[in-house]
Amino acid sequence: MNSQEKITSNQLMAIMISLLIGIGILTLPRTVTEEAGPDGWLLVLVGGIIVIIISVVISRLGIMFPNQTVVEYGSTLLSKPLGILFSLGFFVYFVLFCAFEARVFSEITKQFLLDRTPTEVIVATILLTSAYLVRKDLATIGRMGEMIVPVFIIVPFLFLSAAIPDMDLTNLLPFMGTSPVRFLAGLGTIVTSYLGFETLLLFQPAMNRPQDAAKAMSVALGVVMVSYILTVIASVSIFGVYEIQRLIWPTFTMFRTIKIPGAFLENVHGVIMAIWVVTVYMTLSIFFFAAVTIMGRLVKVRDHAFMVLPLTFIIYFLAMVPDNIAVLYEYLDMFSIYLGVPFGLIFPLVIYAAAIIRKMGTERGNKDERSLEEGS
Amino acid sequence: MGFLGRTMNKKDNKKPEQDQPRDRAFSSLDKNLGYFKDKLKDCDDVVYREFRVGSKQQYGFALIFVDGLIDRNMINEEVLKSLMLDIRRANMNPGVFSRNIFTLAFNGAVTTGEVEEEEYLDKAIVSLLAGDSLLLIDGYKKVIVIGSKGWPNRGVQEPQTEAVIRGSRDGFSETLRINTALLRRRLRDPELKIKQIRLGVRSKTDVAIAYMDNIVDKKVLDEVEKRLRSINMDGILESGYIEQFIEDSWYSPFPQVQNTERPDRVAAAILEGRVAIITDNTPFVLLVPVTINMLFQSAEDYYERWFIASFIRIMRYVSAFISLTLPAIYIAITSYHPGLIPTDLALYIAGTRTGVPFPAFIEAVIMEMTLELLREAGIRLPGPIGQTIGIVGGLVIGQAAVQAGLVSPIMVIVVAVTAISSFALSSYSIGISFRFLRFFLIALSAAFGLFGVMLGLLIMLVHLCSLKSFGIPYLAPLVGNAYYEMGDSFIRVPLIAMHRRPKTLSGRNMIRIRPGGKNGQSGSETGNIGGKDGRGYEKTGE
Amino acid sequence: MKGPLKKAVSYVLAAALVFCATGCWDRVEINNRYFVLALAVDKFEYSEAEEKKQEEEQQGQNGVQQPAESRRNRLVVSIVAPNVGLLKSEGTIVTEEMKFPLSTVGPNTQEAITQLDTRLNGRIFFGHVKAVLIGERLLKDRKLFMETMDELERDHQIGRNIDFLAVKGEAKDALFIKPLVEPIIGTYLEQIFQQRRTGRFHGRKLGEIITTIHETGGALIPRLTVGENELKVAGACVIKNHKHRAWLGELETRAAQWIDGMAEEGTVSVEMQGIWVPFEMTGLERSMEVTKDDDGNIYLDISLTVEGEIAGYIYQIHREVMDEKFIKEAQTAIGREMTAECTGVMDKVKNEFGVDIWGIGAHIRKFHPEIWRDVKDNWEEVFPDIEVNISVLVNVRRIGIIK
Repeated sequence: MNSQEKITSNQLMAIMISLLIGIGILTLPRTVTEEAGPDGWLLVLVGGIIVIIISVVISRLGIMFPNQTVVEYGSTLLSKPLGILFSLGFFVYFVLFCAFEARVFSEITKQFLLDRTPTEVIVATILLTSAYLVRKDLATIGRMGEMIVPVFIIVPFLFLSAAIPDMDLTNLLPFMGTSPVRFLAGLGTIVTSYLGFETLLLFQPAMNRPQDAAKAMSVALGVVMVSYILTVIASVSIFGVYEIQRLIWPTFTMFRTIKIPGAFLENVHGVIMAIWVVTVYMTLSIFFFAAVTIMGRLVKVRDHAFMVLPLTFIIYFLAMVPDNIAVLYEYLDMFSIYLGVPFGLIFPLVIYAAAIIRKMGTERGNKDERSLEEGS
Repeated sequence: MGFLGRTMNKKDNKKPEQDQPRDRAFSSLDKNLGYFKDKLKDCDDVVYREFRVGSKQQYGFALIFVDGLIDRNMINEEVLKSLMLDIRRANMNPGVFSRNIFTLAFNGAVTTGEVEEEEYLDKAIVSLLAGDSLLLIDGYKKVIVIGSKGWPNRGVQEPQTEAVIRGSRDGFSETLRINTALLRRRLRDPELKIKQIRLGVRSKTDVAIAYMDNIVDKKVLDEVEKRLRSINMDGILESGYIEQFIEDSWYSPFPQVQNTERPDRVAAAILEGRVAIITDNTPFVLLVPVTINMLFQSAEDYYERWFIASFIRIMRYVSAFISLTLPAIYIAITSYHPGLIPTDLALYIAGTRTGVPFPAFIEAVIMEMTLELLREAGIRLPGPIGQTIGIVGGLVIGQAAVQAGLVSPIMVIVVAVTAISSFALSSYSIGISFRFLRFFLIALSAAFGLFGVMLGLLIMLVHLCSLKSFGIPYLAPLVGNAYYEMGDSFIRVPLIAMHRRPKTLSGRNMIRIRPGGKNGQSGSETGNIGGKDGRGYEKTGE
Repeated sequence: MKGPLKKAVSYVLAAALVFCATGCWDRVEINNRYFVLALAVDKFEYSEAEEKKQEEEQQGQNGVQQPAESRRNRLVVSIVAPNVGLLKSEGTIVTEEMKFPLSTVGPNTQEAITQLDTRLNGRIFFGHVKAVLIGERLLKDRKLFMETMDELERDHQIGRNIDFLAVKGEAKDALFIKPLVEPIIGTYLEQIFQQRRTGRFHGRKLGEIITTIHETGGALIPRLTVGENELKVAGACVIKNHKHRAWLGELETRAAQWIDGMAEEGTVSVEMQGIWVPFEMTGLERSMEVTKDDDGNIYLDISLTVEGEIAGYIYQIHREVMDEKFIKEAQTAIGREMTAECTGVMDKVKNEFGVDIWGIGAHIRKFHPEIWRDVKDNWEEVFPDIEVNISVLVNVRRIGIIK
């Protein structure tokens, strides 16, 4: 990031919320029910708390190394080659995430909106539109988040309230009937729904008050968690634990069943799809931006814009790799387990441990501090 | 009808070609006159009046002025008569007389409001062409520049483009001085500064920068001055030229400089910490910086009560959205997603569209194009004919097209609603932007349906988020930390709640209404509320 | 880097524009769509004799080949769409038919639809389907029925909020009749369902039925009977193990709904002293209690609380309706009648058919997980042995405007 505007706490919150709510929320009710039956929503709650704790850890790192992203203090803490390796790994992780988001988005759009448009075209258009945003700076993304987040939090839940008569909350019983072993196993999958919070490692220095990061993250993750829980509860109430495991995207199917009789837009799923396009766009763009940020910091450039277009092509080709939707979700699962958990959970904790052990980094920064203004 | 004006002949533009004035005045009257007659050869509207002053007609004077630019009366009465007649009648010591005619004339004889002396003839020509008169005295190397401006003027009329139901009907005029006066009438504060410069190499248009010194954001002010001085153009014929030179992104469809004909709007903007740029020869005054919600505000929002004002404002936003997206959404729904509308409506639309030869988006483009043409035609044609053509033409053509089976009636309704919504926008410039963006959305919707519409809106949103106007984000009150400013965006909260100035614009002198001001008492010092200097004024408005 | 990059970007944009102009893969004008309002699926009986006959008929013809009788075809699929041209009054030449029903055969629903696509001048659109009808013979064929259900569920256009009906006879006939009342047939059905005035039909939508079938393999599907020029929706079909088991009559369906806690409105007629007194229900609540005793027997207590008003008696003077004693009598009588009906249907469905259509198993699973643990593996056998006790408490609140 070159010398520019800082983002405010609110903007960070908005970025995080729009980042996390992406493609995961569509399959979430099904996956948590598969793991934990009617207690799926508890899984979401516990997973959320874990993630909040980790992000507080990350924010501590950001305070210890002011004006540095994980690219810089990772190298400091873990020795330069290892640091660069991790950063590259992180980079690949984000790029893959982008490819997945783009492809899943395209599949769902094809399924529900545009039957005959070729997948290539949908992926290409959303990537190009995303590239347009990524060429700008984080403050722009923050502003977009601020504009969008109220809409896509409030509107779907307004619609959901129209479905309350159809909800049978007894579907959530029996309460706490799942065995603890199953529950713990399920935690692995649920944390991957929260992936994206680790971008705090990169964005914290851009805040105008980095010390507020912990609070902002907690609020943002709290909002996401509540949204997830409400979605899960609503879906399970409407479909029941058996049916919901058959539906690939229960969230969508749920909105499909909601009708507001007499209104102009009787079938609300059109509006929901429109809002969801925006949500996924933001998720995609922010991950893209994170990847570009890492690369930008690794090669120490001023303006990251020129890297965007080549990366767009790379992501496009990656997105076209899976042959069909079954393979796609298989890859996505593998990605979550082998890349998501390490980079999302383990990596930050390792770095933090390293920081504590090596007693580096203070409130005022250490000698290796590289200022943001450098190079601008 | 004339009105006295005077330009402070301060720093001219430091342009390479016009660096320093070069031509000094001569001593001899004839040589000076010769200079002028040579430079202004074939300018038949320049008048050279030579006359002699003194009891024995011993002193040669000459008066040069441009016919049409001066106040004849003043020249005749105050200059010519005063010098030629009244001096003779004055009982003066002959000794005094012979000493310094020039100083005498300058200090005592010329009884006009403004006089200056000038050494350089080329600068004198500039003043001459601006409407001043030049008084040359034989034997002196200086020229007296007499402020005598007076030219035909439209006067103060109701602004054409921004009519209001309630509010003053003063509108700016084409003379700079009238405009600055209208501003001063509203802000009688010595902190209201009006700085003048001249822009345009050949037009030498007077441009005034107006601001409140203790409210304005200095950074913005400096930026404005910097950008203005960097304008290097032949002629600045209208404030639009200036606008295009100083805006941040020339490629953006959104206006980053606001223009208005209304003095009350300018006064309000200056009170918020913005800068006004007044240009001679045009009633349109520029206001910077601008954010998007300012383009949706209208002056009378503040004169009516808050409830009505909020309602109308919300309607304005809604109609903006409609005017932008309705045709695109219609195309998306009918061509791509008929499942989204109620069944009866879908069947009805399908029914009315049977037999129509064009696909929905061609229909939309045809109708929109026709509407744009009608709109332009309506503007060009004079007076009542123009307006009638617009309305009647639209209706008749629409009806005929439906009957001929070329377009479906729903399409006509969609286009009509879109057009009406666009008229509800209070700022012409943003209306134009939306007209253009509407076609963009139609194209995308025709290609990708609802997905295309969302992509188009996203692209526009990204663009808006990255747009800045003189350092202030374009979407300012809706984003960023100034949430209390939201009270003036979608709705308008009661005046008693608007007690702080918009932080994004100034950050200084935040308090504008004291609590208790509503009942006429002047509130006591409440200390540091908001902003870094919480100092307010001692008294609320009168 | 900016110069060539800007050029590259502009090329990409230009290509994108060209794309947009030539693309529009999904664009189908709304008047070129065939809005299917109702879908009917029947089982197709293949017969060799018919095939031979058809082959001979088509020997000498060069015309359009109808889908042949062949082993592949197992379903008869019919759709109906409204004639939208009629909505445009002036200037068009349109046939007078209010709707267009079409029918074809095919190996499965999807292929049959594709078949129909070839015969129509519009693209078939299922987004506004209001009802799906299944023929009787299809219901009795387990495998075919399950295939069809899967197709219905998998399709994203067919919503889950639509009506799902079992037709006594051939479903196709329901679409081809010319009803007197409402010309566009899909909405005819939808409007009947919207009335919901009587409990005599089972008002559950496709989504709920699918869910129930998934969980227990059994459900109730509302029944449609085809008349000369009208359709009657009353009664239900009992599905067990994904297959038709029996038909329930109107009154039985109503009682079954009561046990489910639905069908709040309806009229129950009770004989009191030779007079059939009509009782109009306005509210119904149900609560279920499950207990298990030490011998492993499960007891289910269903108690219904009913509210309503008496709508008629007899025009005479000597007995007043507005009399507490009379009302108590009436309440008892009505309660007795309703209990009898409910018990009757409960016995039939539980004991005779052995199908859990009320989600009793689900109830136990949710509220009594300990009991569920024991019975869940052989719920099918346990269910018929459950002792059910139904009690109905009736509250007559009003009696009309005369005494």
